[in-house]
Amino acid sequence: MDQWLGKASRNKRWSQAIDWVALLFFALFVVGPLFFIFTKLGRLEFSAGMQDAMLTSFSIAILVTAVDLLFGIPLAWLLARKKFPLKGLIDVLIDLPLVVPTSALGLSIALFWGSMGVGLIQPGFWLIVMLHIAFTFSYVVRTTQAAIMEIDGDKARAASTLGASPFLAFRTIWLPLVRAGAISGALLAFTRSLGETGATTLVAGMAKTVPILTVYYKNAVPPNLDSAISLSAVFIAASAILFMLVRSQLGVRQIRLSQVNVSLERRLSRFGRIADWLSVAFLFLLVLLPSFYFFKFTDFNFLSTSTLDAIGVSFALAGVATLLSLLFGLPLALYIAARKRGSETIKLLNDMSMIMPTVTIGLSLSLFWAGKAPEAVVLVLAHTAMIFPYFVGAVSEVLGEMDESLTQVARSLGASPFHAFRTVVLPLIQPTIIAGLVVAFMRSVSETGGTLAVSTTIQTIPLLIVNLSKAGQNAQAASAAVLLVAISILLILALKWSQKKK
Amino acid sequence: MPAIQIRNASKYYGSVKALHNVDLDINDGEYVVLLGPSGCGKTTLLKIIAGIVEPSSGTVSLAGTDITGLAPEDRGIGFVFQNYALFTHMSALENAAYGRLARGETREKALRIGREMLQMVHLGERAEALPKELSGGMQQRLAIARALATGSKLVLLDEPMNALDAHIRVELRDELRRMAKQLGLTVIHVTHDQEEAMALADKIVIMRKGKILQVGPPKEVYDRPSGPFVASFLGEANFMRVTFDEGKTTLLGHAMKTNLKGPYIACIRPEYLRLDNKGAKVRITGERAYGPFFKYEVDFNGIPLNVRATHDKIDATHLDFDPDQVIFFSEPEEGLEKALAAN
Repeated sequence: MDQWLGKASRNKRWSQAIDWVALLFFALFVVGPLFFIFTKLGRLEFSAGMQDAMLTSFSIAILVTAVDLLFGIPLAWLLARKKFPLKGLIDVLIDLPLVVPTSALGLSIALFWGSMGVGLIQPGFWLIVMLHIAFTFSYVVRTTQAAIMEIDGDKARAASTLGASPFLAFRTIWLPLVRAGAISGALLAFTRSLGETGATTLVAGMAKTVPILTVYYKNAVPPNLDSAISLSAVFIAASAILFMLVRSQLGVRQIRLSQVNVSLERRLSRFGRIADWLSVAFLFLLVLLPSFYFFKFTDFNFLSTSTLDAIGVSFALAGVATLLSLLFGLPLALYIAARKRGSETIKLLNDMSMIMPTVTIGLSLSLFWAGKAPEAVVLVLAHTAMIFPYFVGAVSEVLGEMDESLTQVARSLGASPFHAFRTVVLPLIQPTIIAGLVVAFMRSVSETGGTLAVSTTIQTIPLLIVNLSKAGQNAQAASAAVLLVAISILLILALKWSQKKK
Repeated sequence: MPAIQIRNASKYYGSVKALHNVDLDINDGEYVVLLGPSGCGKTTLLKIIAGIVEPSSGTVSLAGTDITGLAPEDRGIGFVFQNYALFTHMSALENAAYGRLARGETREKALRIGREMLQMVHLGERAEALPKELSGGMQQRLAIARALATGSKLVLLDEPMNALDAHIRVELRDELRRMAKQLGLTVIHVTHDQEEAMALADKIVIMRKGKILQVGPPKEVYDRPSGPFVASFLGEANFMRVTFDEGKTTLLGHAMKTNLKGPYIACIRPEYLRLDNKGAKVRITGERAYGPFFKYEVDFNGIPLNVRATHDKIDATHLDFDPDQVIFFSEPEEGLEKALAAN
């Protein structure tokens, strides 16, 4: 008994030590650097130019989110509930735009809608909207789809036996119940749109979003850091308030029904079927096709030194950053999922980190680490700080919703040996961890804006694409993008294959 | 004109045959119970009648009209799901009113009828409660009220008592039958609980492996089962093999005379066996108390038999029985053991 107690208390001390290390890492290497920039805030200014940029950014985000919901919900419903030919294919295709680094997406979208493609939209406000739709659509579809799949189908069947037409069942049963899922997907899309920097610079033309304006201030000669910091502060405050407001609306609400116009609902039910296919058409024509248009331009010169160097840099960077995220992020994710002391605050800080526009993150990080370490190290720490919240967020979200017994096991890890963790908990959460690592890795590989702010000499693939594109060398930029996408797809397929084997 | 007529209904799930050319008539005002082990097809049949599942072949007719192709919302048949499928985002009253509202009724009238139904199931006080705030028994009653509020005269129940405690089950099923008769409803009720079936049914339908084995009033199916499976599923049964030689054989010491020839299976229910001082010599191997009765296990020349008695601590050495209560079955095609298995 004594032996066991001794071992138990030693294990408890170990587990507490790990928690502390993770928390420390989070504080010193993620939260600290990310929010450092606000300690440099001098006089808060909010010029007309800044106001315009705020308006532009938020209008774009709202528009993008609205369109995502309009076409995303029917598509999510289709994927969740219906069987149809090509369903498997569409299921895979939806996630693809996320695999493409945003800078490549920017390039592709600009080429597709511009004079080299359909010639309908030139760089500017609307092109930004098209770009943002492309890389946020999947978030809305996936989270809504997951929410739909969680609902007991019997509820809709019950509505049917009670006389409800398909459309009535959809709007009175499905919609209210997937509200939370759709809203969290919309929120993710909204914040991604707000914070996107790198690709947006490629398609913005004369339009100025907040991130673009921030880059402008940073690149001014001499750099106008005061304005950049001011703008970032206001922007993050506004985003955070909006974010928390919407978050508070997430609970499922009670609904009251009014008298139903039966014939109208029936007509809408018939239309509903067409709406499903409209959303599939939307997916192909307005999301997938523009996203992969760059394949048309590649000169297939994959072996240029600059391309290969950049790929090497990108993957090495992503690899190290992902490893660090796993090492320190996993204990933190478990900590949050187990709802230990202070986890609400930690979760909030983590979410805030994801809202920050990457250019602000880059600025903050470069200021924080300025002169303290060589550029390569700073870049690694910067990427870690940027992807760490995504890993922790993804893993803790899923773990938090898992069976209560799992969180109890996580809690009891203080008393039980790591053997139990390794043999019981780990296999169960392994798919989630791997998914989280993939998200983190892809975020790093794809990362443009923050890297632009931090790096001076080192070139990652996204940076290469931006530079080549700006120099008008579309063919080479396209090749670099193709290579990156090909490798990413191979990685993801390898991942899916290895998970299937289990 | 039967209220529901099912002709030649089959359902395949891939290569699995869930229903096998099933015919069934259900009359107006009848309380019909579909009884059988898990996987026998009773729920599939119920869902086909509701329109929730499409049959692979066959027809369903309602009051003479073929409704096989009709969507559930157009059939006007009430359905109570096994897990109730209550609308968790609506109050009890809204749940009850949903059916009327879905059919275009004014909110005022829908709520009024909803309230009436809640009163009838004794949930009048909880009209504003959300389903999660109600107990299991209350949720069940709400599910029933919701189905009845639509005014449907035909109600289908899919194992409605499964999730409830034993005591509540007994209470609720009495209420259920009373309500059905009071409102003049035709009910089709699916269960695997034979006691529930006996208590509720005007007509029992015994199913196994996608087929209907026997249809009839409870007493008839109990006293005159059509085969060994029915005999053992509804009530309990002891089986012994006998061979008739010119219509004569010996069973547990009794001489039996029939006009049968060859090998048969004799079936006697435990309550018709009697531990006594005359009859066949047996050895008592076990005794258990069940409250209102006692079960004895006896060994008759290596054959285990179950006996029901009203007393405990019986010190008998012989087993007697009433020869009129023996049923003879011919050997089933697949053999007795397989014929008795649920699947």
